[in-house]
Amino acid sequence: MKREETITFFVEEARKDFSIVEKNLASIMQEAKVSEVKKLNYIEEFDAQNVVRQLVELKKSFAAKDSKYYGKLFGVPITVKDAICVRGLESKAGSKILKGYKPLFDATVIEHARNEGAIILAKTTQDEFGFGTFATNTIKVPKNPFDNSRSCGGSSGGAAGFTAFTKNYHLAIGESTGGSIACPASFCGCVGLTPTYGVVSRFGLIDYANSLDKIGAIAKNAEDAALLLEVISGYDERDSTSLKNGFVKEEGEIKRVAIIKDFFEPCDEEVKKVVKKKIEELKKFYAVEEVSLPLNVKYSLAAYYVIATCEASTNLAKLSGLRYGVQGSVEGKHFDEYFSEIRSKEFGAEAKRRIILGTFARMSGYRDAYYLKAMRVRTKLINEFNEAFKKYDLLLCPTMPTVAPRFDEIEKLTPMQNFAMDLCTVPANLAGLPHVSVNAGFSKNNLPIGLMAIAPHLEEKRLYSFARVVEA
Amino acid sequence: MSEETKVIIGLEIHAYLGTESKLFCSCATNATMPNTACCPICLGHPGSKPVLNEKAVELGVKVGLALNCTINEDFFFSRKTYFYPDMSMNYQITQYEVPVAEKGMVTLPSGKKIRIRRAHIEWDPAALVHPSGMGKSNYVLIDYNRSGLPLIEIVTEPDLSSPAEAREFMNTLENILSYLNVLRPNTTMKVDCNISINGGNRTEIKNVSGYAAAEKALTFELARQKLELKNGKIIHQHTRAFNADTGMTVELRKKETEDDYGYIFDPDLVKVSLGKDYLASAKAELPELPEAKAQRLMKEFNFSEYDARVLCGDFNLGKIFDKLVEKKASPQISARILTRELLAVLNHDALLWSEVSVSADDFVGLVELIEKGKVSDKNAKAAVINYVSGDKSKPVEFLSKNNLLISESIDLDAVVVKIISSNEKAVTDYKAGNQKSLNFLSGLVMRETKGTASPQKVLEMLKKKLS
Amino acid sequence: MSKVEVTKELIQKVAKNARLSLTDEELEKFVPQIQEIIVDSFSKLDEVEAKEEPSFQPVSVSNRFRADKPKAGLTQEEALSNVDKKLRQDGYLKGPKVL
Repeated sequence: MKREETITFFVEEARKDFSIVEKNLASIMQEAKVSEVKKLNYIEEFDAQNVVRQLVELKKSFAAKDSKYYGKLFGVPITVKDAICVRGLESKAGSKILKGYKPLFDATVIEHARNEGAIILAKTTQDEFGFGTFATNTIKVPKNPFDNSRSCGGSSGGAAGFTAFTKNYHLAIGESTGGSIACPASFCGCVGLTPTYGVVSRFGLIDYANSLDKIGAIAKNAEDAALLLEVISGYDERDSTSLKNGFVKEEGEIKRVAIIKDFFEPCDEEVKKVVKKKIEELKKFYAVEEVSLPLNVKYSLAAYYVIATCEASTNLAKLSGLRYGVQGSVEGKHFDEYFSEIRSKEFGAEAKRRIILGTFARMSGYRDAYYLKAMRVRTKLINEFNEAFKKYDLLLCPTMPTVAPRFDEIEKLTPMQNFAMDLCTVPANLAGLPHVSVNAGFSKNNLPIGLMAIAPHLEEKRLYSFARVVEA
Repeated sequence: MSEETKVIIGLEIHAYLGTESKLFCSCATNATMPNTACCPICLGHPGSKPVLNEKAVELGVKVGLALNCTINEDFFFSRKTYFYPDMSMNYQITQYEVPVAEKGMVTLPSGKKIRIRRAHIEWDPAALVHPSGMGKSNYVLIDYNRSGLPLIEIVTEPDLSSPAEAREFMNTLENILSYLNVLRPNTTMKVDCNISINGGNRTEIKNVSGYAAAEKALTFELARQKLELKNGKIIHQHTRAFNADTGMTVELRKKETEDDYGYIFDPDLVKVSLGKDYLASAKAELPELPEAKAQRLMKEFNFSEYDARVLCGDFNLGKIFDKLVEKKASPQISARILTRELLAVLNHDALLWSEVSVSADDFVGLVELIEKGKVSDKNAKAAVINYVSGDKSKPVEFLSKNNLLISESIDLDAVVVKIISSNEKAVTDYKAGNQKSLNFLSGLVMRETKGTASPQKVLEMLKKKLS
Repeated sequence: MSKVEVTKELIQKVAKNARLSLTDEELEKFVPQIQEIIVDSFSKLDEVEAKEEPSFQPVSVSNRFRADKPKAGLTQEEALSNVDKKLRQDGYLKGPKVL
């Protein structure tokens, strides 16, 4: 990766000559328009006026040489996953039921980005509330830039899709609950960096599952992803689960790594081949061994889906046609009728299924066996990871078991089969561990295949170093 | 039914904690115009996140300690999910598995001990207005000023055995909470009342506003259940509402969808770990509570247990007493005037403290006069009654204006002699053994002195002179 | 714990609790899908014994408080800005009735 390809380089040049910012922005706006015309569907509704207003303000910053001018992201256009609130911009989390919701506040990550001189370009498409592995449970389906008949991956499909599609300088803020940064990064050949749970504030994130959601970075290279993560991370008193440690972009020490044997097993042959080949090359730098995580393999999907759906079903209860979003006529209607009408009409099938599953798993009579049990099993699984981390600095596996599937293939999958595709990404997400997906190579038909590295809590530095080594 | 009806009552009481801001956001706790003290958090806007008010925790711990509960050093908050138009998120943030306090005890003036199952912190939903009255409106109007206010919920074991005893408990509880100074002023307690008789199913009367109403609701419901049983019907477990206008409870329509609350640990919040030091200092900082104060008054001023309890059993009464003692008024006389006369007129006229204007300063003079024997008990009583519900003039002013003070210039001895000499027949009758005649003579003396003389003294003098 | 019977009635009951009225078509589609997930995935948790303390959050944080200081909230206009104009009345939000 050349230095001229990095955001850092762009920012330095932008500080010398503002026309660089203008040209880059004009070009990317054009791309956004093209991607819409071609129905590639990466971008939600585009508010050009809003962008131009920001540009005008930024020009003033350039003239005044104020703090934004010296910001790490000066002049950089950023796309934002729809679930992340941007003041005054429609923020729907990919759901029809929130149509028209214009938040009265910026998410903390947006505030950070703006303070560093970034321009908020647009919202990117996603599975409704994050419910999906392929960004097909969407209002409009984003198409993989490598092959438009294939999925971008989900749920941050639009973010990764646009990152791969654009030829301009750009950064994408994504979000991961069960793997929604790593998966699309893998399918679209980008770098997807998911931090430790709590390192990036969730204030302003429309919730999927509050103990699992993590905002993170999607970019063309490791340097850029890490830079974005550095900007958006840090303690936030508005998010009670926010950790005191932010992420600082610096090298981490890696000596010994281990391949998670059991995660390789169910993957496609081609995926195994490409990933193993890449890992072979890494033996120059690290000691590479093997490790087994049998409990995670057996139980992490079950525990994850119980917890995620339980929390999600409570988060989605507020969406009932009052205060924001789709609203109807209340005259003469009993609230049961009014709520049910709107919810039944506006939620997609996947959302309904997950609400039902989550409501069930925490109902009296089932709560102990499912909800509470899953929380105990989670402890077990975190402990299994921590045991492995006593010996190894990073754990490696393929990000996804396949390359990006075709849409007609996806249609044939049952919901259960969909869930099973998350087998590699869910364990780290359930445990709140930071992880990165880097492109390891391509399949025979030129589709990207991602290699994932998982680090212990708060060791994002190692992921940064690792990703740079893999890219080189 | 000639046997004693065994009544079992349990109460769930909701009271507003006296914080400056809401439980999980910084909105003010007082606003007049609708929807003017709200923010994305208490409006339930997607993307917003709750942050716990440390004062609410402090007050919750205080309540738990005052109710002799075990405080859970580590506790957390849960989501109680159910759908209603007054809910900003269709789940309430409350406490389920681990409340801040549990297993406490409250002792009633009668000496009976009522167990407290738990006390926990939760937030209030929004306020609903029914534009054409409840039951007749086509829609509701919602005001989120109330949404997010901190509540403490206190749950008793079903240890109460009559509506009157339930009222006694609520008064005792209110008194304790007043001493603690933890509640929002000028707010009404809401009570859910559970009652069953003779081991049958219980009915729950939800959301009754205030203690008087709760007692009325329980009284009605007890009578209703008795009547049902008398008519051979079985009481089934169900929920009712209390209509304050009619004084009756009505069955609430059984909802098609009985919400299962599906409690989960609220993952937007984190555990609270108080630690032993915090608890120790919270205990040490507790103000003197009614029970302890009663004990102290008994020791310090030699009050009877009964008098001490009455004095401490009403927070406002106790405050006036404290002020009087501070101003060096006689504690014994102060106690007597307050517990006998002041309390009597308040109860007789069914007045709330909020409806009267009573100050300790206005009693200082009266107590002094009584101490010096310059006013009779009867006139002192009259002065108090007038002060509270008459023309409200200060007691001392009232007494001097109406010439009810015993001045030194009245020669009681001369008056007694005068009456004796002008009522020969009565004197003779008394000497013959007719006690009534003595009272007759005494009455004449009192009339002559315009009631300012001390009746005891008069009788004493008469007996002496006629012996 | 015995295998839970995921019947159509149970799913309907749960859906109603969550204020979702499913059409017959939806029910027909969802029932086998939900059964599969509960029986083949969720119920896997029955196999493993877990006496550990529950991890309600993956990283342990405690005692996050806010000082009890009131701050100016939204204006009435802002508070109602996301509310449909026809659901606003005299500064209140209009909602569906409760009786």
